[in-house]
Amino acid sequence: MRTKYLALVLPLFLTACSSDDNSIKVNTDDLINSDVENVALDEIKDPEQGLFQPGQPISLDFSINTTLLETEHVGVTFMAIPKDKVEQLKTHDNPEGYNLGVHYIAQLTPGEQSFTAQLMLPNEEMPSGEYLIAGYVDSARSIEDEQDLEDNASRGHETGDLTTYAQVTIDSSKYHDFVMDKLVVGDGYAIFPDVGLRETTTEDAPEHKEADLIGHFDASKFGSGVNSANVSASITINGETLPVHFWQEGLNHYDDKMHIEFKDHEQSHYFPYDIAINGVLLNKLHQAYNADSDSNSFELTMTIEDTSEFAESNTTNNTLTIEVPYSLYKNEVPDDHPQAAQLKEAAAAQENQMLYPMAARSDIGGDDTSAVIIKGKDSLLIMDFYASLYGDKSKVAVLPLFSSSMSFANVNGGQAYASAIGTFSLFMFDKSKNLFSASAYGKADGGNGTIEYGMKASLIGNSLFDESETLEALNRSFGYDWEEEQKLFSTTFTIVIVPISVSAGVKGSVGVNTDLKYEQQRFSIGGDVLTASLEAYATAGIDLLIASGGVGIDFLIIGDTLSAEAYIDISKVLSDSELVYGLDISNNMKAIEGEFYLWVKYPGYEFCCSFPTREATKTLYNTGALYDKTWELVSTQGSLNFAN
Amino acid sequence: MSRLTLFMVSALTLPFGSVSANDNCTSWGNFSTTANTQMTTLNHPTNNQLSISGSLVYRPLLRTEKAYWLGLQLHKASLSVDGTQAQAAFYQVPFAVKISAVSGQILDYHFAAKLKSEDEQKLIAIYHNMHVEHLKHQDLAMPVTLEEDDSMGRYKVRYERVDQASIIRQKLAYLQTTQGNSLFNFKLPEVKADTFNITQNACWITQLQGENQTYVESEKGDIRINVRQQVSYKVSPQPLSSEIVLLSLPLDPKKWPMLASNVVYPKPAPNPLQDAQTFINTLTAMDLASLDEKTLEQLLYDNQAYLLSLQQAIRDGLFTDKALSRLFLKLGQNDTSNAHQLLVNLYLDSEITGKQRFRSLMALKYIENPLSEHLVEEIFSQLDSTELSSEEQLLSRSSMMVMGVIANNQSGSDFADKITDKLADKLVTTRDQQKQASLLNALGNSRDERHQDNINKFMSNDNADLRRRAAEALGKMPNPQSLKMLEKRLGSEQNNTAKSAILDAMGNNQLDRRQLDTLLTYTEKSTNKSLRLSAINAAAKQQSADIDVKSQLKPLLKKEKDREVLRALMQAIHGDN
Repeated sequence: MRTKYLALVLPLFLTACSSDDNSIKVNTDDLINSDVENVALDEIKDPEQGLFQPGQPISLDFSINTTLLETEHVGVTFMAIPKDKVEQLKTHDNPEGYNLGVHYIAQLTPGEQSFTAQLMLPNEEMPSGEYLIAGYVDSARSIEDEQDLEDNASRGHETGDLTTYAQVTIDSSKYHDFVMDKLVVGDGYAIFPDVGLRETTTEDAPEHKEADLIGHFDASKFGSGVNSANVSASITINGETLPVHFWQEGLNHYDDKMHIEFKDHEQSHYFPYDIAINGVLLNKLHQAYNADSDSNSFELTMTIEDTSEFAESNTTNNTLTIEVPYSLYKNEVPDDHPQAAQLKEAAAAQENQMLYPMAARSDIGGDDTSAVIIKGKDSLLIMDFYASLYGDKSKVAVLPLFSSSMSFANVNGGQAYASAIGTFSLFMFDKSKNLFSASAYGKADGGNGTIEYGMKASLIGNSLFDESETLEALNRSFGYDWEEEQKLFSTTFTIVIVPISVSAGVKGSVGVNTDLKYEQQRFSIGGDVLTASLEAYATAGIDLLIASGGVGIDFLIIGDTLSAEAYIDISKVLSDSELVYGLDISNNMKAIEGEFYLWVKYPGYEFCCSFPTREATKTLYNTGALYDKTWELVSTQGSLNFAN
Repeated sequence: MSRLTLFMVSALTLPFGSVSANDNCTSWGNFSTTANTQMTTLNHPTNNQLSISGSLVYRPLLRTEKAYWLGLQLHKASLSVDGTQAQAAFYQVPFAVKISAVSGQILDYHFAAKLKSEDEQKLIAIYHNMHVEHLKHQDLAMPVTLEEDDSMGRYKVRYERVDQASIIRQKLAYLQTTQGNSLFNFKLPEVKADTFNITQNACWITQLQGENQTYVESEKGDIRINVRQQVSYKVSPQPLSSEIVLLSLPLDPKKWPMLASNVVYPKPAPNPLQDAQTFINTLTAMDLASLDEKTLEQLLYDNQAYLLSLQQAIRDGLFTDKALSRLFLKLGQNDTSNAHQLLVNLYLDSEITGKQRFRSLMALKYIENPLSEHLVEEIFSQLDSTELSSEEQLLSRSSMMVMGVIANNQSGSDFADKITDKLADKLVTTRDQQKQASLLNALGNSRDERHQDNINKFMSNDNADLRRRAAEALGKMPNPQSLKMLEKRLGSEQNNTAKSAILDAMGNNQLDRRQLDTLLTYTEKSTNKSLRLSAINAAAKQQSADIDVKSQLKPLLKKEKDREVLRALMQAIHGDN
């Protein structure tokens, strides 16, 4: 799954301990003299604190002694190993130890040098007990032709000399600490429905499925014993604090808390959230909103709650609060709508009558969507719009935008219109691109029996098809899907002549699968207006036909199907003064799942052996697909009878 | 003589006759540089050494009143990485630097091949070391400190004249980093050492010698790169070699023929299977949908000779739909002449479903080598065929849009110019409005500004849909002329869809204060929704150091209620927070 940058072209070092190339030279006293180029690990001091838990930071003071060397760029690797297994460091190429990390020395200077290494005990199960921490100087073998390699490593335990080891005790009891590092709301703001568009009385978790706030938080945890927690959130407005509700992945509803798990023993995690607010909170936001102000805002607070039976070591770092600007929308009849005048009249008559959700609920059996439905005496307008940013724009994010509408006006034999549009914009490293968009519309004219239709698709700003036509009958299918692999962002900069290249892009499939029909004055649009399954990739590193390390990305950015079924039957408009219609728009979306990481491949030299291509990665951004969700943007059907 | 040089010479000298290095200032010299790179990722150190050497050829080219071109080529370039010779033919590609006659600043670069952008940067980096033209406009009687830019950012550099012919250049410190390196998110690069001795004659540099040490660290310290390098150049008294490609090129770099990609990026010879049937059997036995990307690419590359046999296999339904989806993409990326032929054959094959024919068009978007003339002809003639089903008509119109994409991908080449000329010619000669519509989309996809006058003619067409498409096309080629065309039409346009497209297109340009004020009049609540939306989105793109769009848009929040427009407003005002 993980794609690596260019193939590593490095000398092939032998891995077997028995290899001649890796045999450790005999260290005899007569070889150690001031005329021989050498570096030796002199001492690793025991840390002041002797007791540690897995996942805890540890700092170690150590010293080395260098003779006739001024080598730059030297690594010192550290490993913790149970005291009774320390012999394995010499005999096993995979000793039963735990890597603590590498300390970097910019340059060796002759004589004794002392350092403090900031290391981390692995965030995984380590049996409790006595451990020795051993070190190895020059883990990348930067020193050429060093005379004695044995004294690069910790040594002497056989004789009870532990000068070059640190002794610690590992206690694998349930030490843990959660830290809320960063809290972000999608694009930095929120938009809610204004008065009259949604109910404002429910106190518990809301029933609707459409998110009110999409965003993410970054959190860390220390200690290996406890790997999960709950998160709660609240909004404070005008001094009042009310809870908000989280989407429950797999359970298909909103609830009070979000359960999070820290996977893979990584210290830093990215958690996406999908929040809805209930009626009472919406009402508070309405009351606090000052329409004459340039800016309105509320406070969003999120807290990690420890649910384990063990006490968390520090709870003061579990909460973050941010200020979020917000505004209120109140959809109106589009002023360029062909039947704007009639629809506006209908809308005015229904002002503040709780048109929605009551009308919608009666149609769709209890589910709540944010669609606007305006039913006049002889006109109809249904429309919906959804857009939210998923992910972190500074890394990878996607902005899906869906818009659909249906309308009818009983003029000139009946005029009906239906449309559905979907677009995706991609953000990577704070740059954006229009990734893919598709749309379909139809305009039926009952008076002269014609249909105008349009169907468009474009990818990265390039039109792929853009069809529109006026006909008397229509029966067209647009069923195309295909694979794409596009490099979207790329930059190279050179340090004098050494090039560093960065590139990122997407690969996957996109498509449309829509039928447009107009037969016997029944007009319909059906199918998947837009489908997309796209992964993001990124690579960065020194571009010298080799790659030592860099940044990588393996992400599903979007898996989406926007489905539309719309029909308007105007065949009985003239004869029976009746219109029959239906509109179902639903969306299935899975967004932002994967990993953003730093990685490095390096030739490693540790204790007994050399490793030609060891690999280390550090996850910067890792998420499961919380946003795997299907919801109805609008679902309604019915009839209009103009005779009444 | 290396195989590559022979190929380059034979490929380039024939159309231009004999070597014409009669300019007195044309010179060459030995260039060499060695860089030792220490990179630390997650504290793990790694060391690499890069060496580049060759004969750096310098040749003054076209000169006009405002600017002049300098030609360069690293002849017989040799590259070694960690002591091992590496292939990098692109280092030998001739390139030209356009210099302002007024300031001596670099205005543009031009390359004699379609290079990967990262490889262009590598050649630019070589020239950047040797750039002295701006010093002709400086009084170096006393040492001066200037601010200059490179790919990493803006830095201070000191110049001091040593004697009549020699100067010392010292890069002092970076002042800011270049935007766009955010993937690494570097701190300010640190110049640890940088001193170059440069000797000049009346023409150019005769000798350059110096070293640099630069340290770059990511914001969080996870990645650290320390580069130490020496660069040297010394003009050679030897007569110029007749093998040097740069010497045979026209004085105007824009008229240079482009080297074929297989010359610049040579690949090993294919290693094909026994015959076409074995190839088909091998492919059908594999699960193409999940096959490792590199394996599939290699299989197609090795068996490019048999690719045409895939047409019948596809007709016979030997592949699943998922397998075909993958196969088409990889055929497009394969980019060999047989892959071109196969994809065009499939597009025109009426025995294959419309979906697969459409996929063949989508695959053609990926080609980076020119299509042969007869294939271009076949694609264009299909548009004029009179016996097409409605789906085939759609495909023929899409094919024009794909030709636009191909032209854009190969922009600057003769092939791309021929394609866009053909598209423009069809646009002005056809009377069929559906074809005109598609050709406008196609020219928009090509981004070829040479045809914006033809596109502009449709900005006043009676058909509002054609006006909309013309505006969209002009929006894809932002420049002062196309902006003027859009602005001129904005006031008189009556159709809201077309007007909205004009506003969107204007937003792709950098607008001046007056143009922005015009745009902002469309953000008022009294205006139609689609116009408000387009105007706000266009205004949001204008945020710059001297134009504060946010404060102008903020008052609109008090009045705006439409969800979509409100979102655009909030995005413009709070979106970067």
